[in-house]
Amino acid sequence: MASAGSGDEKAAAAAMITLISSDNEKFEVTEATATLSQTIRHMIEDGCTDGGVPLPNVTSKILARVIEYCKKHATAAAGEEGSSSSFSDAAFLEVDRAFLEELEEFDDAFLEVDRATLFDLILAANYLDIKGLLNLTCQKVADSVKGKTPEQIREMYNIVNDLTPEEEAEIRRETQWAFE
Amino acid sequence: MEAPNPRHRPDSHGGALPLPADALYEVLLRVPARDLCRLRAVCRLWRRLLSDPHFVAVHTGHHPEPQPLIVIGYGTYIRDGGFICDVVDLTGRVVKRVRAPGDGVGAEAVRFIHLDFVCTSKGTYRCLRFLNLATGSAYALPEGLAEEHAAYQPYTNSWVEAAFGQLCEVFTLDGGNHARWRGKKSPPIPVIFGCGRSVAVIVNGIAYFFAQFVQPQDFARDCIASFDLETEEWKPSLRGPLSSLADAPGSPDPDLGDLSMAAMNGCLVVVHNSNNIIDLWFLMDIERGLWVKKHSIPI
Repeated sequence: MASAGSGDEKAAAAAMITLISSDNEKFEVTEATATLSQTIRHMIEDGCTDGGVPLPNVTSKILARVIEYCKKHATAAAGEEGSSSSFSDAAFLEVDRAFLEELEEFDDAFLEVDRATLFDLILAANYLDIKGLLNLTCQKVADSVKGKTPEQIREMYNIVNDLTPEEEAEIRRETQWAFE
Repeated sequence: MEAPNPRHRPDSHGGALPLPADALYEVLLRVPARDLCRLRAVCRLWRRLLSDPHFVAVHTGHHPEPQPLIVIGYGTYIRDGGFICDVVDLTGRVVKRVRAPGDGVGAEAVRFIHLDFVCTSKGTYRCLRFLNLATGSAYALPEGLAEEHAAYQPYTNSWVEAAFGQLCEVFTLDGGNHARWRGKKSPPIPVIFGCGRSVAVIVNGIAYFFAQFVQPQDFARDCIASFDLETEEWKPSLRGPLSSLADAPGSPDPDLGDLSMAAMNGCLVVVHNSNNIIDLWFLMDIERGLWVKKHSIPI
């Protein structure tokens, strides 16, 4: 329990959440940033974030990137909420459009990572249940799979073909059209 | 290759993407269906995931607004007399192509399409084949008349015969080895069997055929015969929308223009193309023969 006299401090700290990576590094983030993660949102609602949130599945390197994403997108979300009533003219729409473009540029740049990092980001987004980040990262991998042959996929991702030649021939026969 | 992340080194899961199954699931949900059909051949894990009905259902939800597909059939006359069916989306992209090689004797033509099946015939109408667009398998129906119609053999000219008394036979496709053509009563009025635009249409288990235009005074050209596939009996013939309309006092003889039939939203629809307007007449009540013109499209 908080000691007497720390009321002000506590109020200021209430909006901050401490996230702890698997390698024990601590990250202070605002609640608005943290609650992009449904997993953390539920923990906050259940009141079990005192003393920090341990994330044993996420390294500090990946967590830093995840927080970078959440910060940017939390700002975007806040901007949308605050704007809904006060502005409605064309000038505002122009600002809004520019901001969305900036967000898109941020997302594109954010995805400029090696494949191992991308996979780690997917795992973290999945574990932390961050819809936007999961969608962004999965779509990037999905795009890399489009138009490829099974052989190319296996080569790209070091996948061992454990189908028998008969099984593979059957799949090809059933979906011959998809191979043309 | 870049250095793999040691934490996710594939080991126990058959060397799939260095992703657990649920993350792979999320990725594959975002890949178009056409690619996924091909990627079932990557490995067992992918095949299992992509064949899972639950995955298919969720994937469909992720890729909404399915576009209508059009089947285009064309003969490969020069090569072998077979034909090719393309399933095409509205952008003209061929989504799927099914080949049915011919035997090089005579040319096949597509007669009608129902559900996944394309029915083709060659020469006389008795040489029928069904092509399953989903599996690509073709099934040839036996030739020759049903036992009940043995007295009619050998038939010499199906067209002449059709004009003076038609034979009606049915065949059940999944009837196993004993499946055979079974003779039924002739239609109450001479009908047109799958030909050009006047193909038969099947709605709610009833097959509809346009009447043949034999004697103008006898039958209206939009008169429709209906055969109940459940009871395998002909039902009373229906008056088409245009001749029904002509009953109203003082109305002029309808311009029959160009007529065809279609099935839409579970209704039989007569498509009437005349004077650059296409009218779609929906059969709302089969018992009372009630037709409603729901759409009129200028062209």
